[in-house]
Amino acid sequence: MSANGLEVMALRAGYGGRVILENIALSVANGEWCVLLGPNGCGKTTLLDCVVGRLAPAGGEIRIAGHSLREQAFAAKRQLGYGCAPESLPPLLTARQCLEIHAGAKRLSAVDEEVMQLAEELQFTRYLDAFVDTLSLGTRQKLSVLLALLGDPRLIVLDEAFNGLDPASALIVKRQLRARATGREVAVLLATHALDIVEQYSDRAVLLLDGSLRREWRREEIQALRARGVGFDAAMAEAVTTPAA
Amino acid sequence: MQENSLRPGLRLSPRLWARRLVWRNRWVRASARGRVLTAVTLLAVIGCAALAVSHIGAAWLGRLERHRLLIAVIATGSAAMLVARSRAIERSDARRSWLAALPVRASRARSESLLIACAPAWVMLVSVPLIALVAPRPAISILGGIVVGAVVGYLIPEAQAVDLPPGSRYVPHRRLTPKASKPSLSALGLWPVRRLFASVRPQAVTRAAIPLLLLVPMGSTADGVMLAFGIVAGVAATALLVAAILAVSTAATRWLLPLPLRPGTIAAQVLLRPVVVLLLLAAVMAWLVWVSGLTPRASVERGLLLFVLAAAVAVGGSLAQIKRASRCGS
Repeated sequence: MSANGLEVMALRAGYGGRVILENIALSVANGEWCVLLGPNGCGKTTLLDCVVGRLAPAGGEIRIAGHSLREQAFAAKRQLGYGCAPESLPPLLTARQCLEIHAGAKRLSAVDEEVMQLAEELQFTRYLDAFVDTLSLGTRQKLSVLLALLGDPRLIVLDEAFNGLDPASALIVKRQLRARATGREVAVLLATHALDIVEQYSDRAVLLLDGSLRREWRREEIQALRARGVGFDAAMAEAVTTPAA
Repeated sequence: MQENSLRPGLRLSPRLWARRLVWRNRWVRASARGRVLTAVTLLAVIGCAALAVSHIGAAWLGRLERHRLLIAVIATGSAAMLVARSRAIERSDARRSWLAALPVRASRARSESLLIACAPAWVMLVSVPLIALVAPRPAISILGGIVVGAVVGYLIPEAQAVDLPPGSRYVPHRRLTPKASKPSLSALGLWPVRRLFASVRPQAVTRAAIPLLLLVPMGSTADGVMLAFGIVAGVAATALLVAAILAVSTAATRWLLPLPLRPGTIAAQVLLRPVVVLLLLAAVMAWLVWVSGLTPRASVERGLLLFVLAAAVAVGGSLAQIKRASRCGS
């Protein structure tokens, strides 16, 4: 059996002398969609930055599809699809050039037909030859998602990818991620505050609080909560306010 | 409760107090080394100004006794220009400020904006006592000029606001017919060149051209001015392109960190096209220098020197930036 899409072991990270994450252990299996939850400033983006190699951890180990991000960075990153924040996209390149650069970096022979098809569904095709700095927030977000899906990655990492997306486009992206997770055994790690994704699409949700993973909910637990008429927001609020054991 | 009580200043003058708190927090957050450096720099500037006025400038200021009207006019003009600019910035900031929606009385808002917009005049006024120590009468002229200039600058009506369009508006861009996308990193080389065009906005070019155009009525010939314009434009384009290469090196590395790319590949792609553009700019500069009357050999030498200098800064700086940016991810 192939290795998990993502393995994070004893991760420790921060900025300067300030520790943000301490002893984080997280794994996302192939075909699993894991949602990372937590209040603002709890370290979600820091964790994702470590996972995608944008921030060097102070300690611990990260493996993407079995490849160590520290020792086999090249092989690990070939299996990774990351949707960066819209403001990080290069303003003076066109959307098509961004896709070409990502495809070139992943050594693809062509930009995936499937990604172009998704661009069509998201009504993004008309913006392909527009400069990124002329695109709206939602349109940039679509580009960011398309870049993350290029090259059929084994692990897709998205940070607040649904911010600014219109409901119809958000639905298309959610279905696309679900289809990739179920049909192709792709691991998905998404940091978000959108609880509808937890309730309807994801397989697991983990709560990051004060720099450590405090609680996790499996799909069965989430469904059981729904059956009891308890909203996931209430369950999460309770977990956030309950003191750590 | 005492802890939650508001400072009276915040109630009376929220914008001024907010600024004061920002400055205070900046000072509190600064490292001990930073604080010492700031204090030493400030003391050094004051010391140098005092020395300059008392020793080097004493004789010169003494001669100004006969030209008090002239220095008053210069002080008025400088103060008016600085205050008008400060007022324009203050107006624009006030509209976008996070404090814009606060219920502040109109009279209070006016007095706050007067204090903030006249900040350059307050700084200029600091120099008056120094000058007064060695030349009291010119100091009075300067004082009067600053006060009149500040009032004039503050009362200059607001120019029509201009919303700057995205930088890509100024980038030459072929109208592309829809085509199949081909994976390639080569567009990375276009980024610095486009950034150069984006930074050369028409307004900036116009402002830069005015001093050169003023040379014509001062006795320069039109061809001389055009030559000077060409040389200045060439040097400015070279400097802007080098700056763009450095900025893009960092931005591109950060953007592409999660991809399986080696720093050397990013550097090669970011540098290749811009270095060719630098070479072309150097060739144009050599031609302009030759037109201005130098020998072909001397012109080529100057062009080569410009290219080598620009390329060395661009390549060295870019490699350093890429190394620094990729270090956080390694």
